[in-house]
Amino acid sequence: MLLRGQTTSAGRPTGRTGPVTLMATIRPGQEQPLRDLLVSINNDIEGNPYIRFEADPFTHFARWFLIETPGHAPRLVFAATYNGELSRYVDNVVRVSPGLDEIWGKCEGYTGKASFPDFVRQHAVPSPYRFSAYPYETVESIRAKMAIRQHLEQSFDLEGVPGWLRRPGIAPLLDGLASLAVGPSVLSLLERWRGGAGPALANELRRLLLPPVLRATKAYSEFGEPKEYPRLLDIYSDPAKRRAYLEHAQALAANVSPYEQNQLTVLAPVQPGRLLRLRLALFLGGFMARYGYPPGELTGVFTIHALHWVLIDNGKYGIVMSNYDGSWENYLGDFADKMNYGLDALFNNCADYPPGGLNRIEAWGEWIRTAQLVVPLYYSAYPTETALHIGRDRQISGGGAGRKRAHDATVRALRLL
Amino acid sequence: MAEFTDEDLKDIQGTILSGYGHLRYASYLFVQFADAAAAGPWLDRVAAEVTTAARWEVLPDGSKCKPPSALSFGLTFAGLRKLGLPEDALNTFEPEFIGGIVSRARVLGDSGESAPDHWEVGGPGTPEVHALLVLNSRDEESLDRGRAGLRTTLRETDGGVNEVNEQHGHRPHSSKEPFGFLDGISQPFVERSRGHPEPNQWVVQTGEFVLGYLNGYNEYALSPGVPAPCDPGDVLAPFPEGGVAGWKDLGRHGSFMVYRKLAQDVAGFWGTMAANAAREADGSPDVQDMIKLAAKCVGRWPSGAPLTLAPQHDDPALGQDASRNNRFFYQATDIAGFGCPIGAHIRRANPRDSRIYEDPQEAILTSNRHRILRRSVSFGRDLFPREDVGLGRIPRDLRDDGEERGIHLIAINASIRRQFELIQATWANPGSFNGLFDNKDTVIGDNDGTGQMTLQTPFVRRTLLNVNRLVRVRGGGYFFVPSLTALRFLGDFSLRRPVASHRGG
Repeated sequence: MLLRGQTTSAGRPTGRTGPVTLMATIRPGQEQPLRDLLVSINNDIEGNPYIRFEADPFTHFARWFLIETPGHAPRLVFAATYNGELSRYVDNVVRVSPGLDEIWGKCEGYTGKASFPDFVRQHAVPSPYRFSAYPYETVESIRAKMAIRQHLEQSFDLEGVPGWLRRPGIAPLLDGLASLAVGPSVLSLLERWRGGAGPALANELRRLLLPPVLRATKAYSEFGEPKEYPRLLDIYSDPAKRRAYLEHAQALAANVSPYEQNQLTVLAPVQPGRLLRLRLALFLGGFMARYGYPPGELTGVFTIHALHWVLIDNGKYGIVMSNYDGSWENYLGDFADKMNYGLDALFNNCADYPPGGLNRIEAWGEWIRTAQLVVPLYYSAYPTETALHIGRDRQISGGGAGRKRAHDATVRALRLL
Repeated sequence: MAEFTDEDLKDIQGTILSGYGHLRYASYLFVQFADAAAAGPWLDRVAAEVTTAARWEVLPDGSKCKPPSALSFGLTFAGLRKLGLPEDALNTFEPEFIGGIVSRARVLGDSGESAPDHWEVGGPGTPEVHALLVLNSRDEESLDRGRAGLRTTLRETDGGVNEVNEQHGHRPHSSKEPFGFLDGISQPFVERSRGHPEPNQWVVQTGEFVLGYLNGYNEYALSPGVPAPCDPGDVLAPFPEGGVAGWKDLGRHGSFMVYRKLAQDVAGFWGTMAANAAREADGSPDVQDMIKLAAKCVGRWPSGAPLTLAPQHDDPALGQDASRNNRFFYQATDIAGFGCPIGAHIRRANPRDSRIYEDPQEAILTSNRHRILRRSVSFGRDLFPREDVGLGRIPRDLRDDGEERGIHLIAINASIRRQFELIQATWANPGSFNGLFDNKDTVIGDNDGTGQMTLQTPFVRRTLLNVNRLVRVRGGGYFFVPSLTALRFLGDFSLRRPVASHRGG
């Protein structure tokens, strides 16, 4: 069931979506109680007494998870995607979190709600890479557009309406209207982008930037480096590692969302001496993600809502957090089929990255699953809505665009609803 | 690309490379090992009986001497454990196979009445299955004889290997499935197989179906292994690419097989079509429109003619012409789904080039990385003659008679996770497939009465509302299909029992 955002005294969120990541050391002995608390909230998103998600119009996605790295006590990481200014967002978090003390009070440095903004400033981790498929939509605007689409859908299913629309006298009119639409595709926003100056600009950007990016980041698949790599994944030689992997895979399988949307959270150690190259790849990759592709698309993949990286422990580890649609297996396939050089360019700076990168989907899949974390608490404001749907809902609602655009979008949507 | 050698073919189970179209009767014998020592000699006997992919003898008149029956064999993870394979070896199987089909219920949408708790075979409330024998025969009599022979081998184990369930069925001459549609048309052609693919039958890399060969990603699918000391006779081959020190390849020339008993609600299926069809003057549903709606849900007409090529009405000549009935793509002529709807069964089970916003060639590549080989027969008595659907005849007062009917589905693939599971979990079940809203596969999806089936038209779409689950899961299992070499190895191995140092850990 979807939670409805409410407009409150905190006002409407506005502005571009972006990520925030907080990280704080867990007080001694509080690791398990914290984990249990997060799981209990996760099991009761709508009714839990700690976070009133239904009253939060700012948060698109949020996750809470624990990490352990050598030389550090266990830490709690909170990452969210929201609109606008961080200060307003923090006020919002305080407002919708009656249980803020119970959660963050288990971490060092937290002294109460009143000083939470200071706590955030001290514990926020910057994101050198961020992507959002719909950067100017808010939770409210997405839900409103979903509601319009659902209403439209229901209207067409009303008793008598389908038959009326197919009446002999109506059909020619509707066919005539339909014939005004251009092309059979459904995402007219994308088509429009493709028909305008966007592609030329993006192509030029790609032409200029990709070669140096790939050269600088030594993306395996682009250069065929290394020339030779095994086509067989050795899961045999280290039985203890295999056992651990199977146990971890089981925990991850149990951590999959029951909805259309899912999350991927990866903690990967950065190879010694490769931090600079990773930073460069993140900068250039982030630039390309923002300007090099049509709206809603990241290198041909339409199933990603949001994606961001953070670097922690002086660049010893990277945390990658994404929100995507469908099954992990499909997401992985999309990576291998379409995002190979981009992901290789980033991830090949991480330790134990399999030679051959995304050319070896079994090895790559095992590598990223090994680095993937179980997330005890995950929230999405619209968990059943795919990124493609959000793009289409925007078309149906018109978005203040011209008459023909709204008409095209509606024609296409009517075929699909 | 070279063909399999005769030696390879004699090592590969025949069912992987042949659908045995001439063997229309099938029996599925599910067995359990009481103890590994008794299972050993029995496995040796089975190995002697299993039909291999060896070339069929060519008679003087040029015709092929087709086998009068075929036996295939598979082992569950529990069966392999029972045979005493050491844990390190067991852990080299895919996690999904290790967990077994019951553990995958959530992913596969096996819920409600389809939940494993209600299964006849393979569920938690039924005896644990260790192995499956699939016997295919020409007719009922030879099936009975073959099954009796297999049961004799079981009796001779003195309780060491026991039958826990038997299922059987047959494929009618019309090759129609119980809803009345031609089945088994679009099968991939396995690279290195004998013969030639049909036009537009895609050649899929060997490693998608046979372990030990490169797959669609140009790498080797995970293959189970055993520590070398478990194979003192050096029976098993080393892994490809120079091998893995200390390990032997148990999977080479083998594959994986998914068994699903799928009960089809024939009355419910046609009731759904009737409820949504146009009306005759007397208020009764228009039968031709019912058939058209059903064809839209399937993506083919009852004859097998694809809607993309025959959007308006059935074309039996096209349906029966194997050189044409699978020769189509979506992007060029039917991208919007006006012929074959975007959510139709065949457009999900094998999306060809229709994955949204993809370059057609890339989309085909993606589709071919998730294919299965299907080996199905029907079970149960027809509610009405299934061939009548193709003749435009459906009883108007169709009521369920309480009997079960449907198909036994066998899906063969090298990776259960990447092939069978992906099709069911990512393409058939999600309501958001390919940008749709609330549309699950009408035929095999885990519908719950709230979703719909959208039929795209040039303007306002037509919908089937409140689609119920029309195919219920009644049983299932994940099986390893060993090569003949691996089967003999397992028989000997279970007799010898594993070396202590390789157990557990």
